[in-house]
Amino acid sequence: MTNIPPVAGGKVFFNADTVIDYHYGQMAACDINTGKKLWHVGPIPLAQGGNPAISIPRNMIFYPEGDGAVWAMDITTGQVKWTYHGGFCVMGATGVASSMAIDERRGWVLGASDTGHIFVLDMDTGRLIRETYMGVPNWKPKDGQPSSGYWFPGASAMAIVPAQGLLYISGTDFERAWQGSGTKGREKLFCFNYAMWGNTLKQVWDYQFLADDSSEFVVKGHDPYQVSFYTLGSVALADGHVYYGSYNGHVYCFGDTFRK
Amino acid sequence: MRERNFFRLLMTAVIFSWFLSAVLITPQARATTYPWLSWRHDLQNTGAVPDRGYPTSAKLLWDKTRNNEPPLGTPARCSTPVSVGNDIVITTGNGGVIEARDQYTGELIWTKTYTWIPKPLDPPDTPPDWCQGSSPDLSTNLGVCGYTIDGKCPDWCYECKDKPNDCNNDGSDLVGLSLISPLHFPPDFGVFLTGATIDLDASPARIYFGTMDGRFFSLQLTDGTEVWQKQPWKEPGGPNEGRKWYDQKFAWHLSPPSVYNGKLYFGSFLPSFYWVFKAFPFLLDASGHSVPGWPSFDKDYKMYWVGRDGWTYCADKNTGNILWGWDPGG
Repeated sequence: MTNIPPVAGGKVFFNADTVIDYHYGQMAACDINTGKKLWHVGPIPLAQGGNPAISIPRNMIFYPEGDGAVWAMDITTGQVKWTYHGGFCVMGATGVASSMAIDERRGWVLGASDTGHIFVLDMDTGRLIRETYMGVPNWKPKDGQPSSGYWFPGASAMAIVPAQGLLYISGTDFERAWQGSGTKGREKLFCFNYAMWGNTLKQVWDYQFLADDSSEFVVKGHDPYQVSFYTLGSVALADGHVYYGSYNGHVYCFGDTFRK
Repeated sequence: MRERNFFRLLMTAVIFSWFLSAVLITPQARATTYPWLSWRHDLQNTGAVPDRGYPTSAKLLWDKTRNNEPPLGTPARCSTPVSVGNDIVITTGNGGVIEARDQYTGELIWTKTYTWIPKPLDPPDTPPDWCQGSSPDLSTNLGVCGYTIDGKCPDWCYECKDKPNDCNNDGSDLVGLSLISPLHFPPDFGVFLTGATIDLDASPARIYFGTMDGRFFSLQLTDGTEVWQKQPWKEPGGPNEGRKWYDQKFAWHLSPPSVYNGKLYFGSFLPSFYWVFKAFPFLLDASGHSVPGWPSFDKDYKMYWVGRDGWTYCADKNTGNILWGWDPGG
């Protein structure tokens, strides 16, 4: 299990691989005091588990799997409410990355796929509200492999600000990340507005991280399997600031001003 | 008279309200108002903050270079989630460097560097020739047998060597790989550190994080003093208790823990045995030698080794002692 287990209602939730030959994702709820398994769903073939997220008011848990699907389930019973396919990468064996967020005030759950696909779903129904692709806003899988401008979130988890409708997530570029560990790729931090009218998320800003020699190539690549899973960090939001640690060995703080 | 009393009462209420709002709304010195204590912000993993005022432009307030990671001598890669609490930013990642920096200035408060611990020894009952059936090849995943039968290479071996494999932990045939920990780096390399989870309920405040060489730590947030360290995969109640030599599981910790009600909950990635990158189960033949499971599924075998993703643990946050573990069946 390579995610952080959420806790709710006397249960701790584990989204794990159950493996004998390849990845089989399994979602389980255990009693928080004894570890006794209360329910599980799976194993699901080719589904490597990502980070679950919980809505307490809806008594639901949402989790992404490596087969490209988001699952929504009842916390108490483990009953599946709906699923949504977040998409495969055109070259990949994996789909939704370990990144989900909960906007309780709007009733939305947000996810991001290896395709760079960012999507906003209705928590109750799984209905798609709006979507975009990191760096290539109009790209769709049927369009084939874009030559450039295509970004993966990898293991980077999004952080959101419901009061402003903002979403922050980092990514690494497609055209270099899959050339293997001997090739370095780019790393960017993206900010989107996910709450505006329309069917897409609007990119608000991005920031290109550089190596100390000013090279854009900082992220060690990976083979065509969870391309950047081991590489990208995740932002922290605190007191109006965005904190991020980069593969280039720097720590950054973004913000309009300091409040103190 | 009544009007004057009412006016005094009103003024008192206004002044009291102003004072109360100043106490409640104005951030206290040296205390993050809206902290981000763990990878996904809270126990429900919402990834969402309750406040506002976050940047709508890429305005950089500070940029700090992390300490160098051994043995590369370059700034330590930060490939893990950042956490923030009590005015302190914690960063970890590849290269073994953990740093605590001031939230507002980015100035370094404390730092530590963790390097790989020595390879764990084989279990005492491990047969000396345990690796004769197949040895790992990370490039090809092919099995190489250290023997022939009647001078021929058996069909279950992809390749045969003229001499037996050296199964010793220090043997050259395994190129540094061990029975227990398949990808073990030398002790002069910084070890991957998971993101840290901050615990403000502890007194003094702490952080918790794990390492890729199987350790889990608790440090004091403000100065990095170690509270405890454990190796959960070796602990009583862990995955290896009562298991045979061929079923020993190591644990990479790749993600931070949740903290709730005095307990830690965290996972592991268990590259059991040395088959971590093998695509198929491995079998023991009648003589106890490992046999590649494919394409020889019809061979006479007696057991197989499996396992990739690992146990999840519940530990006492004050001691690190394992309270219970759950095996997902991997």
